[in-house]
Amino acid sequence: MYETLRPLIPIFEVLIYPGIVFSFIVVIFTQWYRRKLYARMQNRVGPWITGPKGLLQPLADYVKLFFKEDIVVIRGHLKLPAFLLALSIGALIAVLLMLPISPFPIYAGFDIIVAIYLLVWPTLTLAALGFLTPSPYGATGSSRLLSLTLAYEVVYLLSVLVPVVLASRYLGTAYSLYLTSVTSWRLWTHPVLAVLMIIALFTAIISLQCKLMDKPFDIPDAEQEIVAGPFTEYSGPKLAFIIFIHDMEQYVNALIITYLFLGGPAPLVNAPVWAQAIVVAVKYLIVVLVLTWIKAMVARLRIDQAIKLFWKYMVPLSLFALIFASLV
Amino acid sequence: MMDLLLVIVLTSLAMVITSLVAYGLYLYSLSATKSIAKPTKEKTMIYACGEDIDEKTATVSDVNLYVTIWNEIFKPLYDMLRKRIHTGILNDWFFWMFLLLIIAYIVIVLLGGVGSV
Repeated sequence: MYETLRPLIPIFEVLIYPGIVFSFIVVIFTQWYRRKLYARMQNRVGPWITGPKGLLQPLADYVKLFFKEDIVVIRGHLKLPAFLLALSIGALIAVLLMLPISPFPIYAGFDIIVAIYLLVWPTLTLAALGFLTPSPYGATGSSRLLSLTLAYEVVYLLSVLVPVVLASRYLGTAYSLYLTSVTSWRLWTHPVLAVLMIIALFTAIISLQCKLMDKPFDIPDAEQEIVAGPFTEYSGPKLAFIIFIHDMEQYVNALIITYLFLGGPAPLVNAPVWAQAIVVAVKYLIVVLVLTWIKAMVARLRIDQAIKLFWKYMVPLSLFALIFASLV
Repeated sequence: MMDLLLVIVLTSLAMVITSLVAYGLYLYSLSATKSIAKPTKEKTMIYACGEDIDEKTATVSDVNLYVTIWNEIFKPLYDMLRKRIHTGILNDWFFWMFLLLIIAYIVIVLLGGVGSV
């Protein structure tokens, strides 16, 4: 029976778990959780009508957008943006298959390069959207996003490489995302390595906040200045895809931080799977809480301030952590 | 452990399958909303600051925007380098090039020379 069904396992992984269906459920829950937290931090109620405690509000929003008319302005592309957005969703789902959340993870030596490549896809797609419609807001937003990309992606890359390099040197994980994820908790047991992990965790969270275009880095889609930046001219299903990609990026990257920096299921590494899943879920929700807390706490920076912050402080800090990780 | 090439093939396949599903959903949405969509001229016009503008005005030179941000941000750095290095005297230029060559040699020697690569 198992042998007969075996070829269907990868299809199951892509379509159901941890692929499309599971990701959609997690995205809906995470968006609700984040909106609720953000609202509470601003002394509001947040979503509360649709579903118990407003839990189904994100789903209602997606369904509403999905069945709205897809308006394309003069000289704008109709299907190319949707195709690029679909590819980005695919890239993020592919990263999930490389993490321990997948029952049969895909991994090899140096596969971290593949993961990083796949994680850049959504950012470049979102930047391309602004250039695919003739709008001054879109072009300005995309330009800002590309400028920021050259700052925060460097920091994110350097930060993610710190646990990968440390685990490869001390635990023989061969620069694999999956193998580093299942062993990274051991790095916290050594005081010097723990310091490097704390520095990398800090820079990873700040750069992730910028990757998600949340405050103080919501510069590309600053609504008071350039309406919605690259997404100004998009509506209906394309806007639903854009919001979904944003939420998926948050989910996948928060999960990567949970596994690479926070040790995944540690300290219950030998416990049953359900107990490990609970620990990972709690750590994931804490990462989302921190991201929301930063978003609620600070005001937007100017583009020059943001890039200076990254190149002046974050790049040297993450570079220092990576160089030390290669030397100690 | 798998081969890295196999990882690339598998992740690409996963990406393609998911993309086809997502794109299929988009096409379904297009067909489902076709009957409710009413073609009007105003919907497809480009607006900026509440006024409709022609497409030529709406198109901003993206390259200029992109380069300007970086030029503005690193202006103090450019100014400093221009003042100290870009003096216009040929001898200064030779000095900097010679210095870079020495640094390159030192790095190569420290890494064990060209032959070891």
